[in-house]
Amino acid sequence: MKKALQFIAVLALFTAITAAGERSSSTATCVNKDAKLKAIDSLKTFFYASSKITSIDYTYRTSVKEVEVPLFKGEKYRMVFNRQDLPKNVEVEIYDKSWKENGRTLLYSSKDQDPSTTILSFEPKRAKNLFINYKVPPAEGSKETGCIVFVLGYQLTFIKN
Amino acid sequence: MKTNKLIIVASIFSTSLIFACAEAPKKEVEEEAIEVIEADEETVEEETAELMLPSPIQIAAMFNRSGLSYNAELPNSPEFVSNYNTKSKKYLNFGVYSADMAYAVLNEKQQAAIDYLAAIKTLSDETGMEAIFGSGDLINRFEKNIGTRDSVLRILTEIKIKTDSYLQENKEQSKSAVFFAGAWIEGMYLGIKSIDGNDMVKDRVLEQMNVVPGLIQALNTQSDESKEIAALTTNLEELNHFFTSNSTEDEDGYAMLSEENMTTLSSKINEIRTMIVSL
Repeated sequence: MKKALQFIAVLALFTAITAAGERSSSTATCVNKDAKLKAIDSLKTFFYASSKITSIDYTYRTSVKEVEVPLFKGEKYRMVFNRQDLPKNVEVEIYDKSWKENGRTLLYSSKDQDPSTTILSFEPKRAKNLFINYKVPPAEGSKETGCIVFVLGYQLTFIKN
Repeated sequence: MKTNKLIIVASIFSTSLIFACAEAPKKEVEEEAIEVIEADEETVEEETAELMLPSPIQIAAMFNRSGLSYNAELPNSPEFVSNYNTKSKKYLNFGVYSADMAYAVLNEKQQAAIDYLAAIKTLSDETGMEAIFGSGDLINRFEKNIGTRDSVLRILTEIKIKTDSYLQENKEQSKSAVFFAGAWIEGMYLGIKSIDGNDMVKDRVLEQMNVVPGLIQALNTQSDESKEIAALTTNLEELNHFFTSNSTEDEDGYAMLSEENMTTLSSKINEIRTMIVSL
């Protein structure tokens, strides 16, 4: 009886540790050069400013990841997203304020885009800090991860001597 | 006694099972959770915001359009490159020289631009980032096209893409905040030294202060924070505190600062820049 109970206890602990380990190792590693290059190509005439590759972990519930993008007065920008490395679509929303603030305005949403569209782009009319929200749907399986690429381009103008 | 042991083991077992189920929910449990989420949008989880850092080339171009004229006395001398001995100093001055190079390119100071590129290459080699410049093709193209500003700016952008990709592929993305900090403070230094009578440059300097909270946040995520980075972060926090305590906003939400406070802000930026470029 004693041995049986010890076995059950060890088994239970092993199950718990394994489950915890699976969860912590589920974060995606995002190093796909191809996805980033495609996004950079889609900047077209805009110059590359910077990029952010966000790892997406699909959990049991809907979650939102936010990226703040500082934009400067009078500048023209193009924002490009590549969703090719996502097992299922993440909705991209762009707001004028963070989710932490009240009264924010939605400036862009990918909601009406064809789900098969991987490259999304947006050119803000007014340059001020913007907030990208990635709306991550719930996972269907126990381990779903992916990556979304965001590339920011700006129109380069300077004084010719 | 036997009963007690049974209770303890049963507790461990049930707790472990609950823990296991919570971490890796079975399909039925997930579906239940999904229904709740779909019915109530307010329960959506939110995570900590990440920040994009702007391009130092773009910042240099913005200052250029504001009428920032070239002053050869201001940039950090490329001769100092061999004197930066710690990794943090090398990273920070990689950023400083990037801003100086953009400043030189935009003002068509060709030899200065070549010297800054050489300094940047030295620092990238010394910090294990030789892959950015590879076999030297970028340097050759840079020198070949030095008379054509548009082409040189495209090559600078290519260097930026390669640097960002190198950091992403080597899981050192957080280092981009250190490079950016060096470039940003150098850009601000060039700006404050040219403010006299130029309100457009002043407005650009004030607008750039918008970046500081995110920069501090990004510097705080460094896994191997050195004394230099800790000191820089503290100084940026003080700079940000001074700015947020003394600035006001115009009707469009853009920052304004009195002349007196502008002088104090400039001297704080000057101090931080001295700390970064000092040997």
